[in-house]
Amino acid sequence: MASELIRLQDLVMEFGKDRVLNSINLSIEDKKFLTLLGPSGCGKTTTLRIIAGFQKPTSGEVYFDGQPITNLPPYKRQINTVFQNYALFPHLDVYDNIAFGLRISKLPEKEIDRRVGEMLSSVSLRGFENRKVSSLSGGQQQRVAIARALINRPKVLLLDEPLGALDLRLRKDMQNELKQIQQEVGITFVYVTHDQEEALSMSDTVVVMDSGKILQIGTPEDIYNEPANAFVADFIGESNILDGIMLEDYKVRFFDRDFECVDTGFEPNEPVDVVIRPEDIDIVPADPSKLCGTVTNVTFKGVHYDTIVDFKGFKWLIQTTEFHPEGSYIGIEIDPNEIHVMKRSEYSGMFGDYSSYSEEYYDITNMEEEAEEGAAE
Amino acid sequence: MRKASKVLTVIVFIFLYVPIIILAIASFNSGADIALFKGFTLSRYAELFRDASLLELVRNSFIIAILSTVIATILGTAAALGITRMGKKLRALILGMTNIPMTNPDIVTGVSLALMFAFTGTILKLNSILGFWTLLIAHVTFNLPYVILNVMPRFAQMDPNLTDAALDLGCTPVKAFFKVTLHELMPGVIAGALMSFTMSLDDFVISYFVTGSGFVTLPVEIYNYTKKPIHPKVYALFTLMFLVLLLLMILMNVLEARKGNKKEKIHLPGMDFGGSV
Amino acid sequence: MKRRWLTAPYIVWMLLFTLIPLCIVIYYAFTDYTTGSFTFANITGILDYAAIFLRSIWLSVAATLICLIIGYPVAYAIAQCKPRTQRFLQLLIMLPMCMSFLLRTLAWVALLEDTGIINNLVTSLGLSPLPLIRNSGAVILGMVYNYLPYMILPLYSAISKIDPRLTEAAEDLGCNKSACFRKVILPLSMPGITAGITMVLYRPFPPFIFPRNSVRRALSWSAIS
Repeated sequence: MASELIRLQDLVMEFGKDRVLNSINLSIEDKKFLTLLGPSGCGKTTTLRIIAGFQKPTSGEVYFDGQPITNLPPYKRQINTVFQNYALFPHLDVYDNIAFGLRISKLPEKEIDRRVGEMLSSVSLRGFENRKVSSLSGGQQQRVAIARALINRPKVLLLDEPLGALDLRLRKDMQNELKQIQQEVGITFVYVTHDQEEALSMSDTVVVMDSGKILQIGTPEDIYNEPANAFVADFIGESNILDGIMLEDYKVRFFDRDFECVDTGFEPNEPVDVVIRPEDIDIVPADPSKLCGTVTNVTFKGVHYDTIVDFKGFKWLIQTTEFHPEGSYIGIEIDPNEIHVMKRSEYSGMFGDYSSYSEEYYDITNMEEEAEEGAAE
Repeated sequence: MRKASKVLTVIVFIFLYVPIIILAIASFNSGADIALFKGFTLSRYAELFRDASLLELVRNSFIIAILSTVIATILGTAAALGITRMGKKLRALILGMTNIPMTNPDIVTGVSLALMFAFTGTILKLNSILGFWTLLIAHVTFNLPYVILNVMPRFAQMDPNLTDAALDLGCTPVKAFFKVTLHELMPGVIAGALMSFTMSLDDFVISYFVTGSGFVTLPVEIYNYTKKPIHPKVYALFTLMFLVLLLLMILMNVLEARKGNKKEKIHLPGMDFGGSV
Repeated sequence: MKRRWLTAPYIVWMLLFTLIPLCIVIYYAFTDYTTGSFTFANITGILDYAAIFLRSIWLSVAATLICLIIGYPVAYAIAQCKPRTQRFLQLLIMLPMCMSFLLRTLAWVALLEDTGIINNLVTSLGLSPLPLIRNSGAVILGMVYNYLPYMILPLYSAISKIDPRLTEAAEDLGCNKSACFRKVILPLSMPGITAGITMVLYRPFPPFIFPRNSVRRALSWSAIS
């Protein structure tokens, strides 16, 4: 059965006065694909570098197979890393890059040759043995980096935003390939990314981080369907986040209306955050018994329309397959199962309003994030 | 643009070699005046080989240049390695110290070292400690900043993940340095070593002050010559030295080319980024 | 990190052989050399040489600038060659500097002086000799000649490390050649420029060490100027 391979206990990391990691506790199971997901500067890369051994935490312990390895240098760990910019050795060719680890452990040349050959085939780089790494494309460099790490048969492979530099198409292909490789070699992958889609489609477990803290640990489904707070709800996919009051079990009030829901365990009249995913809302003809609003913007997205609806000054994103023209007055219906109630947190009121929505909205925020990423290095 | 810079490069190389050519021609001149070519002769070379004391000076110069270069390169590269890991303040302090021998005129460096050696000599109750060791110390001292100044920028430009990647793949820090970091620093290390060797071979100001009569190098002796007319056999000596060094360089380059060709069995065209800027 | 200790031998070396000797010199600067008592006389005596100092400073700055302007395109051109050629050219640039400074200077004097090679040619054409030596131009020429290699090498070292894809990226983003140079290559070669200037500017030319009355060929560029 699934057993624990790595455990992070109370990890704290401080650079001068900056606290980058704030008491991280995490258990990583053997042979699983775990993703650390979060915006830039959330501490995910630092966590990865601590697991790899490049950095020592200010306090806390790292356990590997039950043994503390916090002070073990990286070269004594059965862990290998795929770096963000690949960090291939420019003075070596493809073959020598991949053979590097085996040569260090002084394997016989024959054995090295056999294993490098196998590795080259499995990453489809046969025939590239003597190429300089600088002459390879991004995708090829990526494969060399993976091959160079995997050939050492580590128990854990750490990947630091390995797909960040690739174009969208290649990225999708590599996502599938990575997942496939992980299942074939049957080892633990710890993957760092700020791309929520990547995290959801590849992982067994997703760890959402922000400002040096873990906000939620769960399967991709859990994270998506049951976000722990407004930050997670907003970071993973699109969501409308509303101020609400939990009147009693199974009953929540927002926009001065009472809605049935499936959540329990709150104090009576506790202020809460309510999350409703855009695809879970049905548009129906306007009717005084329903919540009604005006369509202010419609964008065709291929499989659906992004419809922005203004409810008394608060704008929602609704995704529907039918077209409702701008200006039309409509009503909505929400299934009680789709209303998700969350405890208030420090993130309440910061996310989930689509008032400033425009077609480029998502792209712009993405670009900003990437620019920050670059500046952070 | 690129063409212009190529032409300029050729002109600069000619400029750099003008004095060497003049000296080479003078070495075959039967007249004593360097500016007037009287006739062709090889007698300067014959005279040179009859002068054992001059050849010994050449040997001394090379011993000091090679030893001081090796020591300064190792010490300097190690220092640069450490400096890059330091905080801003400490780093500024050490780089400031590095600049001292460079900002000081050679004569100040020479005199200050000579004074210190004299002090040390008095303390140790030795008549004179000036000689091989003091000369070597002085040369290492003025070579060190050049090594550091050449290696440091290389560090700044290096992807820090490369060293981490080597550690990750099982290298101890020492192995990681020799297998990866050093390769990245190599152009800087070579430039530093080259400058050190050159300056050491050429220095006479500092050497003049810190060496005793027991161990004299060629430039120091030539400085003594300037008080009387220079014998043309000295031109012959430098022409020969130049040719030997040039041959050595060409040989190194050819050997490297051979090694390289063996490695590049499947060299694909268009891989060289060299001309693409 | 432990790596910091690698600097320790260097620091010890510099303390012993740079800082302590310098302190000794400073001590002597403030003592009367016959009586050994404290004095400012030596320092105030410097003022006599103020003009010479200022002149050396301006000459140094001029020579450094010329070295930079000539050296940069050369370093750039070298960095464009094949790696093996690059290494060869690097050596070729330093090679003349291995030859004795005095002899190189001597050769320049032989070329430029009033009865030198160039003026011999000029007079044989029936013209009067050109004043090529013992002026600021000759001093600067000498400095540029001797320090140019020390400028080119660090510049080359920095330029050669610039990823060619960066310039492609800049061109792709709409930079023309000159904008690409100003905005990408120049900023990235800054470490080399700083190192080069440090090496050249701070190497004061030692003209005063040649005896002014040195026989026949005054070897110094500025001996009479």
